[in-house]
Amino acid sequence: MSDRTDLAFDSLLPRLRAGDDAAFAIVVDRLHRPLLALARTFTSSPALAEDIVQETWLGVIRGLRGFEGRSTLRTWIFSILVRRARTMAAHDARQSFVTPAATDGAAGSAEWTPGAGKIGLWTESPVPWALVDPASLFQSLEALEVVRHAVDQLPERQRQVLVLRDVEDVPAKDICNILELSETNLRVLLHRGRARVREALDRYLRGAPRGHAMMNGRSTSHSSRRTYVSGDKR
Amino acid sequence: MTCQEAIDVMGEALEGRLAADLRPGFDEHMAECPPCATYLQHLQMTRNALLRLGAEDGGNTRRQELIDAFRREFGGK
Repeated sequence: MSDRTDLAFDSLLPRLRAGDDAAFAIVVDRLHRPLLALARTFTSSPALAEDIVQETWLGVIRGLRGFEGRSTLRTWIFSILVRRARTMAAHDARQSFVTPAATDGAAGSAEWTPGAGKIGLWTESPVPWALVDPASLFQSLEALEVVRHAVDQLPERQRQVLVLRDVEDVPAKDICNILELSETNLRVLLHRGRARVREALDRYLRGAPRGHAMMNGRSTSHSSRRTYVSGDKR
Repeated sequence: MTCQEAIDVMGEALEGRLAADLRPGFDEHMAECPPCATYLQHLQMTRNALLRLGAEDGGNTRRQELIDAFRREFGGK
């Protein structure tokens, strides 16, 4: 899911408008999973997320002829999903009397507030993760489950930007358009989301029993911590 | 570059989008500040794990339904 993907999709537009169902199948196959991942950030109901995606595709089919190409095809499709998701998830929440998740924004950062310089940033220094092979982290289903759980626990906005930017690799400028965010907001939300997932992994890796398959057996006690006071000037 | 300044642009650095004029100061700070260097490494591994989540396959049980709807809309070509 990169800029190159956008070019490939946009080259399909004439075929889509001409009713070429093979071209449509390509777009569906490439975008279905990221759309579902984004839909799931709006609702805790897997069934509703599926419905949101299905409604999105039906909206795409109906809207293709009128699509003027002012954004990329992918951004247009994601934007349809966001509109559908907001309406459908809000309706569902009213039906089931569920309070929608906080939409974050200003919820406190786990570890820092970008741009708000303060002295003593590293009062507690991060401890290196003693992994034999960094790639082992991504091959561990348990570690990926920790990551998935941490993402699920994020406030809605942080979850959305993280799913789009880091999980699905959607370009930052597209995310700003899809979620109607400024670049600054996107940066802050990404910072906070990543920090929280990092914290969860940190807890998991440093709490893992010694001799765990992913660790090199060295003590990961707090011995390597040190107090560091930044000479921050801002 | 201070720690705070380095952390402010760490997201861009992670994504390979750090502005060219910030790169020397950022690299210099990483070389001389172990906590920031460790933090950057943690974030890189975190991001790689997140990207890995995206590689998981998910089936689409309603694919044919959509293609049929597309055919109906465009006259069954």
